[in-house]
Amino acid sequence: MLRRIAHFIKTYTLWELLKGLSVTGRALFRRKVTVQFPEQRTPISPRFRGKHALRRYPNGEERCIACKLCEAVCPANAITIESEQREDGSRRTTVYDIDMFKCIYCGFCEEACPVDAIVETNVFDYHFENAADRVMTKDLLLKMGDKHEKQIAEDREVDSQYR
Amino acid sequence: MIKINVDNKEIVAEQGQMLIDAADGAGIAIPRFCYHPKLSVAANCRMCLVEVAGLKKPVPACATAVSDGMVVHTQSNRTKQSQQAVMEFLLINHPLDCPICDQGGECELQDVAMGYGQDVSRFTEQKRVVEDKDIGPLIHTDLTRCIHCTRCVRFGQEIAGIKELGMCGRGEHSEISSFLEKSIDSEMSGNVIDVCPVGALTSKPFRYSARSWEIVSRKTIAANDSSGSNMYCHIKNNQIKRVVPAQNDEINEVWLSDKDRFSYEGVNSPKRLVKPMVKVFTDYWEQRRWEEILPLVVELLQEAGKDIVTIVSPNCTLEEMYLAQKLTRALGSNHIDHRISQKDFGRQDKWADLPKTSISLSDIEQSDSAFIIGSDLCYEHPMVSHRLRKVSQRFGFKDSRVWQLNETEFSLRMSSKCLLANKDDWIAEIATVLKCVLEIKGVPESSQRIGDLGLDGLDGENSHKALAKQLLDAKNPLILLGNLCTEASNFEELIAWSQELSLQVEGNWIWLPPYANSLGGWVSGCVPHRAVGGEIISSVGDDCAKMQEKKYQVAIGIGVEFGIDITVEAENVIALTTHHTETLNKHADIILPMACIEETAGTLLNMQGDWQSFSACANPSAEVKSGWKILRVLGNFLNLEGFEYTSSKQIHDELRSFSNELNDSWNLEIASPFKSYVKKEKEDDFYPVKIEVVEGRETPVELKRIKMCYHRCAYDDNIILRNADSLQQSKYVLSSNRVFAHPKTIKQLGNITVLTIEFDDEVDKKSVGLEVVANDCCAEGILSLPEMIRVYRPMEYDEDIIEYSYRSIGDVTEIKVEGLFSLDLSSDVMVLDND
Repeated sequence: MLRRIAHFIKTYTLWELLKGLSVTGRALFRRKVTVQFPEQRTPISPRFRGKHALRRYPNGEERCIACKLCEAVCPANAITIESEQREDGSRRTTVYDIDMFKCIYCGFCEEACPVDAIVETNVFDYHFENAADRVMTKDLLLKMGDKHEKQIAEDREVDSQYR
Repeated sequence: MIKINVDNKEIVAEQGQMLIDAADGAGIAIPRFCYHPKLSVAANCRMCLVEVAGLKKPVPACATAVSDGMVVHTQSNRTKQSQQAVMEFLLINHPLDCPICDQGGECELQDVAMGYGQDVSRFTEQKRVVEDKDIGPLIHTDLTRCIHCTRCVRFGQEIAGIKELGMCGRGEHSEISSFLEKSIDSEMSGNVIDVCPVGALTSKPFRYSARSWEIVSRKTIAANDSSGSNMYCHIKNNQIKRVVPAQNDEINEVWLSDKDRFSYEGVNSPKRLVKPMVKVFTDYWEQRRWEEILPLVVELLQEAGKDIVTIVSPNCTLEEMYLAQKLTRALGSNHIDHRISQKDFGRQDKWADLPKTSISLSDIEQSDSAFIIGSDLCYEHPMVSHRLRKVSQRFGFKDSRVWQLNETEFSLRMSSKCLLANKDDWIAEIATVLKCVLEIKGVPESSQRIGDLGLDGLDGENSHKALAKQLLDAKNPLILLGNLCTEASNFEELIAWSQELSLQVEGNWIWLPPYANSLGGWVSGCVPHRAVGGEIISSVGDDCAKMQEKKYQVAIGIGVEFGIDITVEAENVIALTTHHTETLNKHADIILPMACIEETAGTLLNMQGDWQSFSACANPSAEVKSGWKILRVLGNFLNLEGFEYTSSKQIHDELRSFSNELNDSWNLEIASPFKSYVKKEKEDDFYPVKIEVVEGRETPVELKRIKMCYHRCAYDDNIILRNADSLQQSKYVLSSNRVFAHPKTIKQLGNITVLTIEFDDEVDKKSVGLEVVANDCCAEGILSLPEMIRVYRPMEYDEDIIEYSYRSIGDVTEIKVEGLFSLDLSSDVMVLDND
């Protein structure tokens, strides 16, 4: 009997509605968490695995030595490498392609690399306008590395104590 | 047979066997570096240390003979500890940069370090560095990586027969080195790449182009000599990246000659023909589609009627040969041949149907005396010379068991003796040895034989007597006829005389077929006088010698390079070819792209008569077709019967059904007694020397006329070898791409050092300078030129890259020394009196 009376009162005082609105009301005055992407960005872990890049040494020499371990370890077969002897006798790639459609961003390539040449940057927002553009060639990867080298180096530095 | 116990497992081993062999046989793994089953035991890497019960220290399994009841532990703590310690020592000076090493992924050191080494390195000091040596265009050295197993040194000593690599220095300073910075010239040098357990010796042409795990390995047969070595082609992205041997103890054991190993570069050559082409004007070629060009070929063939000649390369597969002869004979012509290097065909009907060797390659080892007639054996038949080397090594250096009869002494890289004579006098030499044999025998029959053969007047020198005695004393004497013999103008007489010699000494006689499928040519009926299966043909066609004298309506070449392999005159020359070379440019009218042997399925018949079938290793480029497919479709277009094959297997089976009963007995007999054997008058081709007169200078040239002769060059046997770039840069080739002359002749010609040779190129007149080298073996008044002239020149845009091409000696228009003299080649050959 008492329950029926309580139900009657709650129904006519709009109690449930007010209870629900109180959450809204409280949130109305709380600090905002929405990020205005792309103007604003959330912080990213130094271990974030985004778009790939090939790094260089400070003297401008490319790091990659065409050992092909990344190609071998890639579970999605996304990496294609052709290698040859460069004029100075060193082992270098002539082709280094990553198919971004195949890539599953597992980070194994980065882990396999003995010279920290191939890395995954914290860039995760990018697009292609043609299907053919999905292949990141060596030039693009090196440009990517040149552009983000500072960030890449900082991230590796932070992470180095755990590696 | 004794029993030993390894890891609580009973193993049966032979008395005297090494522990490592016994364990290998039972499938028990013992790590090793210096041990190699085909090389002697050095026991210097110490990796195979195992614990043997009752012994205080661990012992090396490769140098410990088994004994009855021996108890061995390969997994005990003590064994593991000692193996770990050895591994640590080996890695002290070995660089740990496997990612840039070409051996990475297939490295024995890498594998063994993973299996038996420690997980961390305790060594923090400086590692030693060793300077790399330049040992030629085939092998790359990275000697910092060397672990001093000395397998390459032992290979050189024991297998190649020439100690080209050695270990210098002691302790930390020991290093592998070639003597006096010279290149490695052995014809089997490439094997050190396989033998090296680390990345110290790697293949130069292959360098950095692929990783072992990317490669697909496909078995095939080598097509550069008639031994038919088994090998694997390593394929990546449908391209042959390298070639390694496949073990076959009956043929090549675990070795491979350099020409087999590096000829794949010719398959990948930029000169490969990729589209059918037709010559529109001189030197102007147009590409055509197959649908367009085949009717053109059919039209030409139908117009020609029976006036067709077909030359099949003796390196083609049996299937291609069989279809080629089927097509030619169906068109009514018997002018078909494969014997491109042979000159003497007088009694070809007396040849065996299947002229295979009477003993197998592995039985050659059992010989105890060998007489090689007319052969640069090491280069021509590396696997035969390898077997003979074993004979030579069995008897030691002082007891030479191998003799050669040649124009110049070829290095056999084994203890050997030599009879030197002009090609024309080889019969006289053999007859002299034969007489000595008969004299030593001294039985009544033999003196009668001396009379029969007209050997009375011959007097043997000491060397002839020594050879005769050795052949008679030997239990298994062996007489071999090589490629230079095959090329001799009296080849069939040489066969008859050497067979008689072999009969008298009760030895084995073998003719070494010059090319990969020379025997296949006989079996498949690619000879003008016999059809498939040895069936005798009444209307005998033209052989290779006659072909070069006549003129035909249509000539078809299958795999031959007209102008170099053979020159035939015809209205229309159709070449099924793998490469588009400058020489073919000139000599052919229609060229059809054919697949190389690595790109087609087929069968090769080697010297001992093994039918070795293989399938394609890689797909040829889209418009390039297998030879048998081209011939099959051509048969269809010509409406010929029996060209409905759908696979090369069908052709093989059909051919096999014809080839069950082939006799291998020779019926060549000595034509006439030696006395009546008159030396043919030689028509010497002397060329007048035109001397350039410079005022105020007394001309230094004293010779008025000069004779030319031609020497064979290394690696020019077939079109693929000719286009294999690294081989063509090797010292073997460079040393024969020269002019040889007697020192006196050189002096008479004004101490010339370089001879300029000009070609009759319609496009642009090219010339090349060849070095003149003094050689005592040349007769006076002779210039010996290479049969095929290699032209090396730096590329226009990059001087470091050497461009390479080759020309036939037939294209030469002028030979001269600028400002001194020139040879008048245009004048007719002059036959001069002996003055």
